[in-house]
Amino acid sequence: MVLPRRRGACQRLEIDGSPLEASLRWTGDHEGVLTVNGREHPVAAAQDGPMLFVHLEGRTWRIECVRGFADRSEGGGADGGIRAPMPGVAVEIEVSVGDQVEANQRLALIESMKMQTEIKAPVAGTVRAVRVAPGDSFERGAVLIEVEGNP
Amino acid sequence: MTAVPQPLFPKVLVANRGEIARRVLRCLRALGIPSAVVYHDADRRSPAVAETDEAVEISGASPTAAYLDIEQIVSACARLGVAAVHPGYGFLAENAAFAKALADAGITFIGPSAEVMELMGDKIAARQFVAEHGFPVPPSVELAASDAGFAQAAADLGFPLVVKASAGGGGKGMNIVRQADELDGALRVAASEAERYFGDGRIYVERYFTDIRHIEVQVLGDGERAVHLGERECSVQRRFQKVVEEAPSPAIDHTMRTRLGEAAVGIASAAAYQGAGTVEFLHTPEGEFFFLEMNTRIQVEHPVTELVYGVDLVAEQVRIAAGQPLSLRQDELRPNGHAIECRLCAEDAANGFLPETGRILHLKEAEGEGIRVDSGLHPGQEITAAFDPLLAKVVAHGPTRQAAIDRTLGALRDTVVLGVGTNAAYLAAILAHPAFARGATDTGFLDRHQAELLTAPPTDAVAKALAAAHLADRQTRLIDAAMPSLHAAMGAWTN
Amino acid sequence: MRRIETRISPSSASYRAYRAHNLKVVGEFQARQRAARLDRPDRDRERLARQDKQMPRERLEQLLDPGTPFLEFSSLAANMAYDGGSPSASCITGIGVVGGREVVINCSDPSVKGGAWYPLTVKKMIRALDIAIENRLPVVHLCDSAGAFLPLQSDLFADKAMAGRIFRNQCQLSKLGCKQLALVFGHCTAGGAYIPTLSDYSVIVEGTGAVFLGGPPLVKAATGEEVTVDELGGARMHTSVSGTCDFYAANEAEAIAIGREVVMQWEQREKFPLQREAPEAPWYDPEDLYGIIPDDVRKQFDMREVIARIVDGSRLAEYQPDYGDTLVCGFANLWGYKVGVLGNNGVLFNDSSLKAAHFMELCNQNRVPLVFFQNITGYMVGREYERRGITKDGAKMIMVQACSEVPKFTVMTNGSYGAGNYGMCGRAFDARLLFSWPHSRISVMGEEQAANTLVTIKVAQLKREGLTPDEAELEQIRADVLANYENTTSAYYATSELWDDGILDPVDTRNALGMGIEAALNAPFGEPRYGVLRL
Repeated sequence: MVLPRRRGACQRLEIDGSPLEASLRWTGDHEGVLTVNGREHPVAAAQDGPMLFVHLEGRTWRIECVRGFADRSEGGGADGGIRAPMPGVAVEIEVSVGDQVEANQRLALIESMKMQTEIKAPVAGTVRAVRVAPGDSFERGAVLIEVEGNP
Repeated sequence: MTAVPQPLFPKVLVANRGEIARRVLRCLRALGIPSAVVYHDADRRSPAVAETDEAVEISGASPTAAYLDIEQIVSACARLGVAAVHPGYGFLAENAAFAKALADAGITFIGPSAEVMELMGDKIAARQFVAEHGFPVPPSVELAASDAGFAQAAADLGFPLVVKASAGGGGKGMNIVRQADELDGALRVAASEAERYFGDGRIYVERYFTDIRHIEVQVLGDGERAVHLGERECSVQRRFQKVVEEAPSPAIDHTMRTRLGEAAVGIASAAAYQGAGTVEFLHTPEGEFFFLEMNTRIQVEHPVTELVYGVDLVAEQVRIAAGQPLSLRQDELRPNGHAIECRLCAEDAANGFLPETGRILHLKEAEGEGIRVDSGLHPGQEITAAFDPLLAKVVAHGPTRQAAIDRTLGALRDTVVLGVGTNAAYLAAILAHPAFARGATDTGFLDRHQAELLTAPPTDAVAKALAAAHLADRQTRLIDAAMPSLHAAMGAWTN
Repeated sequence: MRRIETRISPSSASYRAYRAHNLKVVGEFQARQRAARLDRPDRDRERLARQDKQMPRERLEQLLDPGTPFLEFSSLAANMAYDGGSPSASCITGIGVVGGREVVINCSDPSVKGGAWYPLTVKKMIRALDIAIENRLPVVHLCDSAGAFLPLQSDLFADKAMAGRIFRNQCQLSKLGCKQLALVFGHCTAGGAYIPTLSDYSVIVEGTGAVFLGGPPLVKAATGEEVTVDELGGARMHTSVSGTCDFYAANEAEAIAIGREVVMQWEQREKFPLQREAPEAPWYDPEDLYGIIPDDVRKQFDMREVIARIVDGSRLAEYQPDYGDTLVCGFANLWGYKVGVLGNNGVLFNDSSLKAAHFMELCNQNRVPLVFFQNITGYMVGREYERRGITKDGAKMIMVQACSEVPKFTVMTNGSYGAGNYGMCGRAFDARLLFSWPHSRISVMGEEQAANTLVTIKVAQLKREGLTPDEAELEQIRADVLANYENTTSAYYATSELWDDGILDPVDTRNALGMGIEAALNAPFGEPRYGVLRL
């Protein structure tokens, strides 16, 4: 748990209860110098959504950022229900209940206003419910497919 | 007028992807041979496609299926007018049907003849061939599983046993049996798996040696003559998959090297072997060795041999395929120093080695004296479960084994792959382990030292990494950029 | 600029006595503040939990950037009203940081009578929006209110400074380009419905959030129509049918996250380029303030000692140090920002009044904000001073102060009596922020004088009725008058009635003023211009 106590050029952080002074000077898009309690370490870092990758002292860390203040969940609602972005008709349903899906995997194709839109899995997980069949029409916001994210 | 030297082939196609495709392309460029590759859409932006002269897209139900599609690849070759194909390793590298299809189209397959590939690809036949030529093979049951007396014969070998698919190899299609009552089930599972994976249900049973060394010998042959380029030690394995390889083996002295080398050259010569090949042996603590299998392709771990012997094995493959006689002489091939290779993989060592997926967000390959990184990665690349989890090979050469270890550790530290979890820390822990430093490596090494190799990082390292993550976080940076310095300096104050 | 030389000694008997006294005073203040902020009956907590609602301070904690300051206003508003039925006047206001941007917070407190608006709730909300207007700050409203507290509706509805002013202020803010975001966590009924609708952006939470002019019972009574809360003004309806709200949120956390995203898109305007140096902590320990402020409001102290515990490096470039010495004037830096400081060191005489007027003119010319440290019994009275024109000179001071275009800040450090309160930028004179220290007292005249005056009047009244009170009766009258007077002259009463922006622990003064100055830089400083000065 990282608790910033003071921000700015040199931040005072409380990490798992211990205080620490740290700053990061970027030397490139992903590379910089981390100073912790006065000692410098070369560091590389990159971010993909809430996931941060840090290379420090020969070790690569994958750190998921779970914020003390709220973070907007990406993709579908918190219930895992993938909602229709617009009213339309289901054209293809490519998964069935129990299927394992990858994040961003195409789950269905819907058509609305003569335009086809792919419905993708917001997270990697298991398909819990398929609420529409090809040919079914639905309203905007209707839950089409429910995916339960992998723990 | 000066004569322009003719290239060995007018054009060579690389029927592979990733690091090995790049490795072969690098060699072709050095040899002045125009190159081409086939690629699946998933590799459209890969360095191999960027670095080749011509690239042709192939498709398939899955990316892997595309690279296994003989018909498509052969027709791409015809279209491009290539004279030869380098298959790399994996995919079609040991596929005799592919070699035949190319031959039918008048294209050279850079590798041994289809017949030798078929011989060595059939593990039962290969064992018999080697045994017939007087080289040692592990004790095994010669009967078919359905034959009467099989169970007794198996039990006579002594447990544990390993059940292998005849069409397997490279660690695939293997099942260990530790006691008699497991045998029946294991045979059935193995046979059905062999049928399913290799389309060949034949299996065989060998004595399984635990805590043994896996030593392999690199050979080159031109059909007339063969030489060996010493051994590679590949004992550091997990589930029959090599993790760290080195050359020479800390357990092999000159006498043993000569014996192994002679055996390997003997087997290659008996097969009139053409090209680069690897003869794998089991090496017991008592100094016995047994033939395991022969791989008729360039090996993943070939760089350690190249660094120690100063030979470009891929270039040798191309020269031999072009019909040139082997120019290397056994008495001139002497090992120099030591080399180590680590397989950097997208897997979570701390979590049961589950494959990791993600997108390469940032990449920096290590460089420096004696360091070689073979990688086919590029920023933005999606790492999916579609391919092998191998991301890059981090290799280092040094005058001594310890120097090579230190350089490899340094190279691992300096290799930055962000966006997907890797086993880099696990590899470093292996190299830094005192048992590894002593050269006490065998196939039980990783299991035996599992706990030490997977220790949690120290608290202060965690704190530093968390601090770096917090400071690198986009939210933090946006907030800090927007915030008046007074609020930054005041910190979490409230009245 | 020289460091103020302190004359106090932490080992002195008075320092130790004052410190003991003031720690008790501050301890009591903090206990009362903590109770107002956090003490709620279990049934209210349980009700919120049942509704899947968080406590308002939990919402705030998620909204504000971690590691940043929050200046809360008037935490003890209404502490002496409604028998304590409306702690903090049932709402939380302040300046905080969201996505690096300073914003005014206007947060309902549904843990008190469903967040119903008392008259002082309305006053506090209006004040928060006034602060936003004066400083050109954006506002984030966290809405969850049952609406007006009906038993007191006549005290909160119709007048100029009552509920309508909230909406008027919202419109003014929008006109000034100050963004407003409403996060609708609970019901916004009737007038309250206009808070999200007059905001530039709004987010509404599924299930608990609702916006409507009349709730289902009122609709049933008015038209006979039976309708559910969700149909009438729920999240789905307002974000997909009526367009009344902009963003749908599945829960409170998501609403806050969307809100943060919205705020992080807002433009950041150039701030007023106030002279600034690198900030520096005071040379002397601010905790010394406890040993400087005497244990009796009538005891005098040197305001320089106070200033030295608040400004950067304890440095003050004193102006006219040898003239009008009952008023200390000078330039200092506070969190690096240049400020003009005025502090009382006694009664205001002709010379100190003229010095104040001139110094404030200098600050306006220099574009330097003014900070007043009040400890004032008033302007000097008596024949000699009237003949010298003390009222006329006091008027000059009041005129220049009232017409000052630079931001002003006032701290009630001790006593604030009579016209001195006006000259030193009391509440009526639009200090951007005005804070009281917990022991401070404020009234039209000193307590003893006032009590004596009132006793004199009372006795005269009794005598007219033919009664002659004896000594004991006189003493009783005196005690009653004094008790009542003391009650209404305390800082707690002042802050209860929103005569200030809150009571501060003296050691927090530096940060509170820093936050105020930083906020003030969002609005342009006007050109110096005054009314007619009686010369």
